[in-house]
Amino acid sequence: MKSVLDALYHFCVTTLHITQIKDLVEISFFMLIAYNFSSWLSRSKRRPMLLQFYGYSAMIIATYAFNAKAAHSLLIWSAPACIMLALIYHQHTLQRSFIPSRKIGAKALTTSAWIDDLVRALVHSMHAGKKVICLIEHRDDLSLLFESPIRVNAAISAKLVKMLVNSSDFNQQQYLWVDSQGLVKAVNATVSTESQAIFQDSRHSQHAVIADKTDSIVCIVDPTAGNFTLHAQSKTLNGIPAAQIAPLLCAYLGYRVNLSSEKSYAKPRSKNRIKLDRS
Amino acid sequence: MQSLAAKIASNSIVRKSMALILGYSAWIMVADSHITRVSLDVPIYLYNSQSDQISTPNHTLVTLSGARERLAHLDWNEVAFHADAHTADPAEATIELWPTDILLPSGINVVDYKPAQVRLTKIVA
Repeated sequence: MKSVLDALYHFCVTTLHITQIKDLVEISFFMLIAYNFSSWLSRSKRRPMLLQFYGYSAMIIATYAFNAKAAHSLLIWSAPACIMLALIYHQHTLQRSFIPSRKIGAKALTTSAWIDDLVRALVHSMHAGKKVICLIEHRDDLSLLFESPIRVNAAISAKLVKMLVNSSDFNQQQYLWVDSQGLVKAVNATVSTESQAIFQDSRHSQHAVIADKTDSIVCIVDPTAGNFTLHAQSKTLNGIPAAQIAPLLCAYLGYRVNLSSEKSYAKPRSKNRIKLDRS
Repeated sequence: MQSLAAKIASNSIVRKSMALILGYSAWIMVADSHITRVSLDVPIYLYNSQSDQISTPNHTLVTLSGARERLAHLDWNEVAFHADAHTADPAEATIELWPTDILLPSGINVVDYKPAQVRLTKIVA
């Protein structure tokens, strides 16, 4: 037994360079950092940088193993600059973590009836040949990120939405801003000047970036194709027929989709909301 | 191809394995030049001794200090105390061991060793 332990100790010292228990604690610390960093990088679906991180690390290890001191020093010294560049490139994930503030004291959703009204009005505008870009604000507060010259703040109804969309002042390239509490907040909304940089992306449309960085939904009515495009939760769904848009909005906003009833999305999920419905 | 590689890299087991490799490699790079200590059993060899004389005990526990990299490359089978039997105290028949009796490469020092004195005994045929 003693000889086995001696052999193990000999192996640890000569091969692994581990001489004390505290070395194992230090190695665990480095491993924890490497694991957390790689896990953080792997969370980004749009800009995966995990392979680049492994590649850079492999180069550092290889230059150390082959005693290429100049190359090793260069890689070590330039690591902070590379990390900074990677952070800038990867800012999408960082921004997603801290930019959209949550709405404080938002009331619980009581009914999804407003989705019916909204979809009815959007289908009507599609048949009228009008393009509508509908921004549905959910829990992330967009009030600092968007601005609009026409504030409405009125409960959604099909008539109101039709009236706004049919108005001569309505700009088809700007947002019809509603929220998941069933309010039309504004028309002709645009990203505020201060927030332009947040939603700029050379590879993706602004709508996709909004849906990626916040929990908002962008629903675009395409009158020429006769269908909808939905940007929600970092996903883009194209060519959605009118019949499917309401159940999809219900699903993304957290309503239970009830296919058996006449209305396909009747009740919200939480017990509190059910109680409110009953009362 | 790249997406396949990204998928493999994102796998939890792969990430854990890579964390093991990267963590250990980072530690080696940082810690290799640091001074550390290592303890090992070292044999005692006598010279200028009679053929039937041995030391009791014939091993001593030595603590060495030096850069981790140097200690790792030290050949443990080559490390030994070489004690001069002529320096033995005739009354007690003991030899005092000195740090200079152990031959070590440069950069590695003897910190401690126990026992520091060994007794000379004759082998009974």
